[in-house]
Amino acid sequence: MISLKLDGVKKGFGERCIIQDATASFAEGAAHLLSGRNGIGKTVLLEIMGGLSAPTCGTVQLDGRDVTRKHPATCRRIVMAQAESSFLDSLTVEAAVRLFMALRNLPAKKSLFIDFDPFSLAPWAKTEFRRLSLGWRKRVILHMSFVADADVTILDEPTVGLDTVGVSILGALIKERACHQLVLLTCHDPAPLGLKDVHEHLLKSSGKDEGSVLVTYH
Amino acid sequence: MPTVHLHYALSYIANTAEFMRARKTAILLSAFLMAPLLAIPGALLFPFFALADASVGWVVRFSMLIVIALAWHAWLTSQKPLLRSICDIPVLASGCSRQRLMQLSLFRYLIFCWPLGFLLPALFVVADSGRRGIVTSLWTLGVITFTSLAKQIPLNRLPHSLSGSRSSLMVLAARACGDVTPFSDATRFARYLGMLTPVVCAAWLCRDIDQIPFARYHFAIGLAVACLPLRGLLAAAADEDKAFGALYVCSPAYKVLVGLRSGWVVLFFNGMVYTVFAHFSRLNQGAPFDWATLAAVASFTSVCILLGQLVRARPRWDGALLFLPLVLFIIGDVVP
Repeated sequence: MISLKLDGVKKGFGERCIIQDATASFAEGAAHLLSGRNGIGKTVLLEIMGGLSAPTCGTVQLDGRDVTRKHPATCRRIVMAQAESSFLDSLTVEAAVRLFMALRNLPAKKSLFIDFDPFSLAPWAKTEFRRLSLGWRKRVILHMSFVADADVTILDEPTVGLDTVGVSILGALIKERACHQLVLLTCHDPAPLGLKDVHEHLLKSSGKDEGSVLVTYH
Repeated sequence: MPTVHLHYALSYIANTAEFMRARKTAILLSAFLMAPLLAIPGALLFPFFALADASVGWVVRFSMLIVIALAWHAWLTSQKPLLRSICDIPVLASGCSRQRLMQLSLFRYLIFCWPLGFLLPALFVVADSGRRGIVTSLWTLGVITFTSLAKQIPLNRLPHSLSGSRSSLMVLAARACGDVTPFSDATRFARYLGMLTPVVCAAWLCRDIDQIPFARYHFAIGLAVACLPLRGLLAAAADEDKAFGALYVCSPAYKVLVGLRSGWVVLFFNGMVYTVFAHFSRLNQGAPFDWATLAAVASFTSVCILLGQLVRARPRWDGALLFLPLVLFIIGDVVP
């Protein structure tokens, strides 16, 4: 059973408080949707859960291990796809995926896109990342997120830039992964993803300049 | 009219990146072959010269160290946007442990430090250690060759499982850095190889010229560089071509300043060659031959020569020339 727990997480930048209190528990079995208005701190919270940013106070634990310590074993269990699809621009799609896999110590076959290619990247394997359109860049980043087969997959605005076909592929992948892994996402319009069983968590303002609090709806 | 010409010339310096981007093999091959005859960028090495000079006092040495540190920091900072940190790419960073991030950071830093490949051999030559100069030159060539080859290695030659294979990771990272390392393709390789030679030659030349008052002038120019606004320095360093273009004019002017007759020749020659290369590039891009710009660069070269003369005739004007690089960099930023 994969379990990610936030306990009294606070985050601020300087004197500005972004997240006042985030306490929640996330478990596999269904996708977890983090919602809230723009600028409320969704991405900040996802980055904290992904171990990319440390909370000002509070803890984030994955199966009892502190995520912010960046222990190799814990890191490999988490993958996060950012909203803007950026990567090292000079790499080809194939090299980018290989680099991603090398950094995660994942075995890479000679032909990368034979066994797993949900986003149909094979024809673009030799194309440099910078030459790709926004949608195809997004597909590459999402491909990495799912090929990692991590216990925790964090997706920040995964539908941005995707066409309807891409969104339906993404929806199917999330549904499949959420059955046995933890999938966390933010998305302002989740309907096209077709996710039926979703646990919604709302980040809402706690008052003027006091940051946001996390509320979970079951 | 001269103001207009100066404006043109400075615009040209600001846009040297554009002309270098043409990357025409013929131009670069010519540059490679002719570089040792053309450029003597002594100014690039002045803080190191001062450090290598036995007559330099501790105040100057300390100041030079600060200058080197500032310049080096500015260089590294300016390169950061070009070679993105793994930390800026969440999909990679989320899976990297702290140890792995440090490894990658170190590798990234080493890539940033490629100009050391030019500075170290020259520094050793200045310090009258020819053997070390040769060794470091060879080392630089080794680095250049490695990075060039790394870029060419087909990925399917790599082990299928990269687990634990640090060398494979290094090769991949080297490929990833293809855009920012100067040695990523044959034309850039030739260009930087061409630059290494004149730097070492400059060091060798300066070593044997005893009459140069090293401490005084190097200290003064070093101070001027230290006073450069960081933004200007960063922008200049970020755009290596711009900095290179400025050096083409500044370094011979410096030679004139310190009383070397060769400075005149080099200054004039550099200005002309710079102009010819620029027009070569413009013609390759389909632009018509622009006589006005040619005249502008020529007049700018004349201004530099006159300034050098002024400073030589009236030593108390020394300070004026010290601001030449400063003015160049700032205007280079401001002029679109």
